[in-house]
Amino acid sequence: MTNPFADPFVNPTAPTTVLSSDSSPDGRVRRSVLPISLLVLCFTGATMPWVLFRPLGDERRGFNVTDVPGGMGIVWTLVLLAVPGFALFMAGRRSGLILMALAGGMLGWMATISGLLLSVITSILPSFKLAGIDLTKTQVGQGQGVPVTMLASLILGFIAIQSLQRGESNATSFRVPVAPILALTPLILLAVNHHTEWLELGSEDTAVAAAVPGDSLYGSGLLLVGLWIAVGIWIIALVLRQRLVYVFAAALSAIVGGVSLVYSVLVWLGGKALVWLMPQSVEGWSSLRVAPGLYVTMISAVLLLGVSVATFAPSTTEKSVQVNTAASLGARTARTSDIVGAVILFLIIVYAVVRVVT
Amino acid sequence: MTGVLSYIAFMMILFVWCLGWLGISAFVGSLLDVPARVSVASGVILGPLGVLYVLLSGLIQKRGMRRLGRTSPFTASPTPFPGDPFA
Repeated sequence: MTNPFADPFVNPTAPTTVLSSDSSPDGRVRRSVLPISLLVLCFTGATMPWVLFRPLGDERRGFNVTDVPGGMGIVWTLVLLAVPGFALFMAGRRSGLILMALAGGMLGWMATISGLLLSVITSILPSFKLAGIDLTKTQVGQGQGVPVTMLASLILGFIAIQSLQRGESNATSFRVPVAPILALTPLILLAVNHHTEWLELGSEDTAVAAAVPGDSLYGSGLLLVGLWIAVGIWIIALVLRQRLVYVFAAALSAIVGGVSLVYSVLVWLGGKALVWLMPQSVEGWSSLRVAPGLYVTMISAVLLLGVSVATFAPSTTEKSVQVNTAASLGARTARTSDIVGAVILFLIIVYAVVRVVT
Repeated sequence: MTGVLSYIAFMMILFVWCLGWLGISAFVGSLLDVPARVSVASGVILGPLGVLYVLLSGLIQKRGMRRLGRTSPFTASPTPFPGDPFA
């Protein structure tokens, strides 16, 4: 006789995709270097420029959260949140990882909010236009600290969320889908190059130069928001690995790639036309140079468009590469995540040394 | 004094940001039967992306359940008693 109280809809042999609320009931996680290095990267990003001030000369100044009144207090508050998290994580507690991700996440969101506030402030400044380019907006922009802090905090956040859903795995290798990696590379290049100079205007008489970055263009704020959402969805695609997420990410990336391509081509054409039409002097500006950042943006946009369109084909989303969970370093064996974490820590140390020396 | 006021303002913005996204994420998670701990942590740590993550993972879970012809273990079965077991 069968059990009359058994759920008749359950097929015990069928695989399920149920989200587990507590896959490791004792709340323990494996200690790893990667989350620690990502947290350090978040704080390193907070010391990099978040806001760049480019006056009409060549002296650029960067400002970060520590330059704001009360900024050091904010950083120390987050350090005080991160230190117990680090201690708990080293003791193998999952709550430590969550606290670390929370500290990193707060820095990341503060960077985002500062960028949004910057957009609002520049939009209310009186415009000073030269040959159709608003030079007021070109004088203030986001620094490289914002993408570094945001990206590190996002990855750390997803590692923490994953620890809530998946238990420890003893697998010797895992498969990484290719499409998100291929899409994330041009997306990050686009995000970074959006804040670098695309055009450089110069005046030989007064030795004054004005840089025109991508973020000074009309509607670039919206493009940047879409770009970061696309980055987030591709990271989600790495975690969830479902066709629905791939299609969603590819659709948004195609829009971002297309708009970025149109922006860069128009600026390139505009710059060339300006030089060709008025080579001697444009309201006192005598030279115009297309900066490498514009070419990098153009190539990245084309690559992103290509990857996004290819992702709509199911055969592309199925492609993946096998990564071993451990790698041998001479006589010793180290986990891949630890090696990646160690490389990030090494790069942070190199950056700190270079900054101190220069 | 400016520093103290600025500190309070920034911390309040962060607090309201985290609390707001926590609420939205928990709401979306409850609609899609995502475990509360996952949806709350996603909202607080990842903000709007956390809500998106909860939404996508919840939809995928629901779709998987529908394909298998069963309901989520976090919700009550629409047919609590499948019929007369002694028939």
